[in-house]
Amino acid sequence: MDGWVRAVRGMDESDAGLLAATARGDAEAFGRFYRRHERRVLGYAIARCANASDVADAVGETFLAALGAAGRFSDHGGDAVPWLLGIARRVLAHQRRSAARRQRLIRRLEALPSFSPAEADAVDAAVDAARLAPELAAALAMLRPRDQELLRLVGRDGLSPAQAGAVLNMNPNTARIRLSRARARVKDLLAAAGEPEPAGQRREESDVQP
Amino acid sequence: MFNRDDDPALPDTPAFSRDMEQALASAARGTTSRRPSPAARLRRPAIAGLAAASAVVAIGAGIGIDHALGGRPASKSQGSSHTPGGAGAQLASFSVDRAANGTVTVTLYSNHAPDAAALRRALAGAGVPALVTVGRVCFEPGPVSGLGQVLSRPPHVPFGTAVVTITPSAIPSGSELSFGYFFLPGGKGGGIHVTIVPDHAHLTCRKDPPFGPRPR
Repeated sequence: MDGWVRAVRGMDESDAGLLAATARGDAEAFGRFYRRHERRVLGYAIARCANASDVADAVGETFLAALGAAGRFSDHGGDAVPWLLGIARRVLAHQRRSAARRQRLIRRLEALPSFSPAEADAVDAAVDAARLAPELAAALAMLRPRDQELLRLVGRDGLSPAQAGAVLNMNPNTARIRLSRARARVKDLLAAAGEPEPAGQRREESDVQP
Repeated sequence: MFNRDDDPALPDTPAFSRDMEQALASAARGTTSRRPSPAARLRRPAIAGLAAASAVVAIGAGIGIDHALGGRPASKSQGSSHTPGGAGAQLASFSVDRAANGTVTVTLYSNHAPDAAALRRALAGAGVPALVTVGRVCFEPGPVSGLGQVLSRPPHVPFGTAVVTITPSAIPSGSELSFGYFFLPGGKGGGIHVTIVPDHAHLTCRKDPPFGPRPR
């Protein structure tokens, strides 16, 4: 036990450190990385998937892809969340783009678990609860897809504008400017439709002044 | 940095988290399941004829499901009909036994979902190429040829188990079995859905068998 404790004390527990250890073959390091970020990816998937089964697949495929790419992680300020959500975004895009590819993934990842029945019910309920109000969904649909995702990453997933930009391969200034314009556009669309601006959008307003 | 780990909108999923962590640790150690290479798969003449699309047997108190095999619901006797064979592999939630005549018997025990990778490896070791899924069943919509030749069910099945006997030599060339473990509603156990799928089929996967559990 003493040896184990010493080994942990000597380990770099930053995201970059855990991923570097993973790339060297330390399975326990990836377990800690998974525990640290699982719920962030779960929340991301719940907000974008149609049902619990898709959420389970998205979470599993995201972390498996992260495992395969651990050695290529470059330290984004020590925080792997934008990198991880960027992977999740690509996983979901591939799922939508190619059902055949998804089937191949399912077959390759057959050992990945799914939710228990009770968990699946709870996740399905969360998926339903995460659906946008029709008016807001209609307003967002008027934006370009990357601007929609920018708003979601900041307003729903809790990323800073710079982090959201990293997910979308935008530089921070571009992300802030596009975010501000997207918010203004949504605000105008909601006003034109006679709807108040969503509280979650107002809350972030002070963060996005270019 | 935002930390939304305590977001009340996120459901608790402890079983999923535990299983996923184990699966990822297994993958990180390089022990993830690998599908058998095409060369290692059985090459058999195609079986003509049309059989039922799939077979379903269930394990659960008071519920027996038996489609397509013409068998009867699980008898309520205690004990196990498990008889280890030469290539038998006894694991926590299932057993796979290969008999001298080449047939392979798979037994699933009540209240324990099998480990998909372990069951797939055990089946592969017994000469049965298979896709194994837990919590969802995967199949190719439409009729399936040859299932009646591949699957059979013993006349006596101990209560709390699901048993399927497979004839590997009858699996059509370029195909494999899809084993899907599904959960019965209300925590009444689980069941296994078995069908034949072509190697490169576009599969449909869902939580329940295609014709749904049928209480009897």
